[in-house]
Amino acid sequence: MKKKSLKGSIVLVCLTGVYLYLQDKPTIQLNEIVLQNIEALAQGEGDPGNFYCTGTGDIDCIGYKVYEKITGFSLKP
Amino acid sequence: MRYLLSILCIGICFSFLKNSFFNERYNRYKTFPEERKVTTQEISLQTDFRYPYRIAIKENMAILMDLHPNEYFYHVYSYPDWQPIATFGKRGEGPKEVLSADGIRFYSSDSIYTLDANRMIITRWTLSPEAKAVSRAEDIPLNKSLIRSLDFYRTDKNFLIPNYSGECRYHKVSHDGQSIQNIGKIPTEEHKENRDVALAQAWRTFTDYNPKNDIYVLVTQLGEVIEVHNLKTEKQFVIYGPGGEPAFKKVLGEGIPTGIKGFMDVQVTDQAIYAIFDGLSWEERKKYQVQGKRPPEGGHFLYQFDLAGNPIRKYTIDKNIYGLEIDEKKNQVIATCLESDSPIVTFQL
Repeated sequence: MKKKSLKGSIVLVCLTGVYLYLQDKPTIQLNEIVLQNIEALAQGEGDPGNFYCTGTGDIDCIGYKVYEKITGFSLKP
Repeated sequence: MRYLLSILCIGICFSFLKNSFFNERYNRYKTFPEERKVTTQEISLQTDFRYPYRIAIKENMAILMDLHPNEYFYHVYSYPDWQPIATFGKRGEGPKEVLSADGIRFYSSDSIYTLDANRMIITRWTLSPEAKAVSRAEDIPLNKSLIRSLDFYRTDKNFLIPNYSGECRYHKVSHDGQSIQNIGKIPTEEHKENRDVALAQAWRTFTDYNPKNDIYVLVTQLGEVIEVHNLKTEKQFVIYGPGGEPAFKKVLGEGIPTGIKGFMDVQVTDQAIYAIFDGLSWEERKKYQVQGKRPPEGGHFLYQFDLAGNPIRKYTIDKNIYGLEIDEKKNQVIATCLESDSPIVTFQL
């Protein structure tokens, strides 16, 4: 009887572990998709994106030292 | 049944270990064993600086580098009394002028080396304190294969220059500017498959080397990663801090910062590694701008590591600082500062 309940406990723990592992993966994928969608919305659909060097600072940006190197805006009308 | 159990056990083990084993390849630190607060003292200089960025001290001379000057990038002073001696590195597009200042290494009065990344030239200058003059002694054009060099150190044998293409971590470059050896890889855990220029830009580092112990250190401008290379034993230590690896997104082949700004400068002494750390995210900086405030520029912390990159002590500074020089005899830090009236502040360790 003891052996049976021990085996049962092990199986339960293992099943919980596998469940947690399988649950974990789709969450990461979903977050990535959501993030990509947010970025796509920010840049406009089909826009390959652009970047800008703004301000004065120490970030290297195409030969200039700028405060920040940013993206997310489009110059298209 | 036994077969099924084995598979399930492997599953559960994989679930628990996958983060620590498969994703996190490098060691981490979360806190420092000791923390201290330090108060700075300003040193007033007679020169106006627009962006005091780097400082180099050798014996009784000090050189300050202005990243965005009106006229000259480099200013020489007597040390420790800070009397102006000379200026050099005139900003401009002329043949003997400097397009950008990306680093300074001060070895002796006839061996002051500066890096101009836009021209891809390392220049050696000689200083004559008596004549109060600095003259250009030698231009070393860097090989085009290096693409863009943003920091350097001159050893007796070669230059150590971080890589800009993503194909390796740093180069050994001959004293005439030719790449002679490519070493290591960017220690990324998230972008192992895309080792390109965007990754190298995001992993832009500030470096230092100490010939006495053969320790070469790279710290990331974004994120919080410190890499220690012992060039004698060829041992390498990579340590991630809580800020993790540099976060970025790739747009038109460029690495665009998205996470935190990390280290500002680093120095390797005989016993320890000192690095200035910021830690503020770009999102947090935007909040300052929305409120009409100027975001902090420079790092609020000085981190001390041992020569294997293990954290020893964290100093919280009452000002944000950029470049540092450790005076080990006085146990003192001399640092450049944008937010005080003086370009230089000091504090005791």
